[in-house]
Amino acid sequence: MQQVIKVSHVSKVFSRGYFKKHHKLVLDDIDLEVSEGDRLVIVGESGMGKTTLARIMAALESPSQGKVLWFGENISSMNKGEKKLLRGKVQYVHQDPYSSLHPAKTIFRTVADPLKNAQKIKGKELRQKVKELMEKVGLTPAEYFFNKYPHHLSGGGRQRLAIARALTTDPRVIIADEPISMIDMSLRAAIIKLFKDLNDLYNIAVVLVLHDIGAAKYFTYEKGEVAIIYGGKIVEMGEGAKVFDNPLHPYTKVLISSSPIADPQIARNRVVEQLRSYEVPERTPQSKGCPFVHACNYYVERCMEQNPCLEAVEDNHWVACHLLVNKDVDI
Amino acid sequence: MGLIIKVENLKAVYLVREGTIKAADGISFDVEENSVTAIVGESASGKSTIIEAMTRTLPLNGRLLEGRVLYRQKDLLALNKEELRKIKWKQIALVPQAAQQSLNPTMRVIDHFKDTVEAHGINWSRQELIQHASEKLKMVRLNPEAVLYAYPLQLSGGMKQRVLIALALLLEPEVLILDEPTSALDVLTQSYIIQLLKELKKSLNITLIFVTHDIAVAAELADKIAVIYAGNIVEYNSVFEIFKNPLHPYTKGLMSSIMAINADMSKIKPIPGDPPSLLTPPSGCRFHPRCEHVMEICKKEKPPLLTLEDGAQVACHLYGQGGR
Repeated sequence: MQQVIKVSHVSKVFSRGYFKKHHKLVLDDIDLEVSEGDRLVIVGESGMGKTTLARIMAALESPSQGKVLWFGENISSMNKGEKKLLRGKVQYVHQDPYSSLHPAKTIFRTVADPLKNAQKIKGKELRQKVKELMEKVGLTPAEYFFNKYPHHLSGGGRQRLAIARALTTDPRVIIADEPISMIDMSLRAAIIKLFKDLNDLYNIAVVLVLHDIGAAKYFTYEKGEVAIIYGGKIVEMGEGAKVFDNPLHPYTKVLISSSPIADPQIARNRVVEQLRSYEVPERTPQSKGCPFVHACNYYVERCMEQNPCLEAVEDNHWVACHLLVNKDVDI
Repeated sequence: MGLIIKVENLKAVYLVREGTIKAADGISFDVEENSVTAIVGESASGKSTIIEAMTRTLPLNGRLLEGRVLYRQKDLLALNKEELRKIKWKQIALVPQAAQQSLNPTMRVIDHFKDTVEAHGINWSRQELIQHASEKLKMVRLNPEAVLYAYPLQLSGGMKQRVLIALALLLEPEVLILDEPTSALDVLTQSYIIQLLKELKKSLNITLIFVTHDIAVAAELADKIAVIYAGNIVEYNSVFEIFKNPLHPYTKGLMSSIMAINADMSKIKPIPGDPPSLLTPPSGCRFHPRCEHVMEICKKEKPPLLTLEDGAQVACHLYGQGGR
C-alpha cells in the first residue's frame, strides 16, 4: 500500500518570552506512518500536543526537528509548486464548525468555490458535483440546502459541510482535529460514522484527533490504529482492538478506567485508580525521564532518569514504558 | 425521605430579535431529599434554563411565564428578593456553568469566600472565615494554604471547579445545584470531580441536582435522571430503570448513540436528523420528525408526561390509553 504521510523523529519546541529563552517541549520524537486507506486516531488530553501533531502532519506548522513526508517526499524540501500539487491530497478539517465556515457564503458556494478552483469545472457539471459531494456527507436532499447559509445548520450539519468542502480536492487523507467536541451528543456518533464510511467506501485515509476515548474506540475497533499521546510523546500505539482490550501503559489504563461508563451498575462498583498527581508539569528539551513519572503509581528509579522508547510488545502493539519492555534490564 | 423540591409546570422563554425561544415548556418534576437528580439533554435543549429559572438567575432576556418551584412548601418564584436571599446559599447553592470563567480574575480565592459571606449577612472574623474556607477546601481535596491566596489564573480547570464547589458548600446548604460540573474538563479530571461529588454526597447528606449533556456522567452519579428534549421532559425515572429499559424513543436513541468505552461497538447507532430549533419547534410531540415510531397523533398533539404503573414517567403517545 502506498504510504501517504510519514512523520519521522518529529519534535516541536515552542519558545516564548522576550528573548525566546523559555522553551517548552510540545512533541518529543514522534514516529508515525499513515498508508492509503488507513484509520488512525490520536488520543490524548488537552495540552498533550495532539493538535500540534495533527497540524504538523498537515504541514500547517513546521517541526523543530525531524521531517514529514507526503507520498514519500520530504515537504520541507519541496518548492511552492510541488507543494501546491500535493496540498489538495491532504485535507484538514478544523475543530470548530461554527468558525471554520464563511457565514456569508451560501452552502452551495462553500462547496462550489473550492471545487471550481480544484477541478476547473463549471455550470451543470459543477452543480452535479456539488450535489454528489453533499450527498456523500449526508446533507440530503442537497438542493434543499443550496441556497441556505451555514447558520441554518446544526453543529453536526456544519461539520458535515466542512467535510464536504474538504472532499472537493479529492484527498487521499483527511486529518480532523477534534471533529466532535463542539457537536451535540446525539450527533457525535453520526459524524464518526461518516468518517468510517468515507474510509470504507472511498478508501480515504482518515486521521482523527480525539480526547473522547469511547469515540476513539468506536472509530478504530474493527480496523485502524490508535496512538495514545502524553506529554508530547506516544506512550502506546497499536491496533484499536489490541490497545482497547489489552491496554498496557499505566496512562492508557487510567484513561480507559476513568472514562465514563454507560451502565449505572458497573459504574457504581468499579474502583477508579487515583493518580499521584493530576497536574501536568511543563517539559523542556532538557527534561529527563518519562513524561508520566510524576503521576504514575508504578514508577521505579529508572523512570526518573531515562525516557523510555516505543517498543513492540506483540504484533502491531507498541508501548513506551520501562516496566513493560526491556525485561532483561533489572528495574 | 420526603420531597424537598417540587417543580410544577415551569415555563420560560428567551426574547430574541427573531422571536421567542421556548426553552422550558411545562417542566414538572419532584426531587427527593438526599437524592441525586441529573437533568440530561443536548446543548440548547433548555436544560440549563430549568436550573436558571428555578434559582431565578435567568439572563436579562429570559422571562418566566408561569410555574411554581416549591422548596419545603415555599414557592421560590413568588418570594421577594430579601426572602430569596435568605434561602440562597444557606439552603440552596448553585455552582454555575463555565466554571472557568465564573471566578473573578482580579480577586484572590479568599476574597470570593469573603464576598459570599458578606453578601449573606454573616459576621465572621478573618480567622473564622479562613477556618471555614479551609475546611471546605479540604473537603474538595485542595490544599488551603496553596489555594486560598492564589488568583484564579494560577489554578487549573479542575481546581477552579473544585474551588467553586467549596464556595457553594461554604454556608452548608441542603441542596446543591450544579450546571455542567464536568464539561470542559479532561477525562481524568472529570472522573476525579465525579468521585469527589459522590463522596460529598455521602458524607454531607445533601441533595444534588445537576445538569449534564453526557448521559454516561449521569450514570455514574445520579439516582434519578430527567431526559430533556427541546424544552420538555420526555422521561423521568430511576437511573437503573432508564439504562435497563429506556421507554421514550429519544432516550432509546440516546442510549444506542453514546460511544462509551464499554459499549458494544457494533451496536452503536446514531439518531437520524437534527435537534429542532426552539424558535419554531415542531408541532405536537417535538421529537416526531426524528422518531421511528411516529404516528398521526404525534404530529398534532403534545403528549402529556404520564406516570406508568411502575413509577416511570414518560411523555410519549406510544404509552398510555392502552398503548405500549
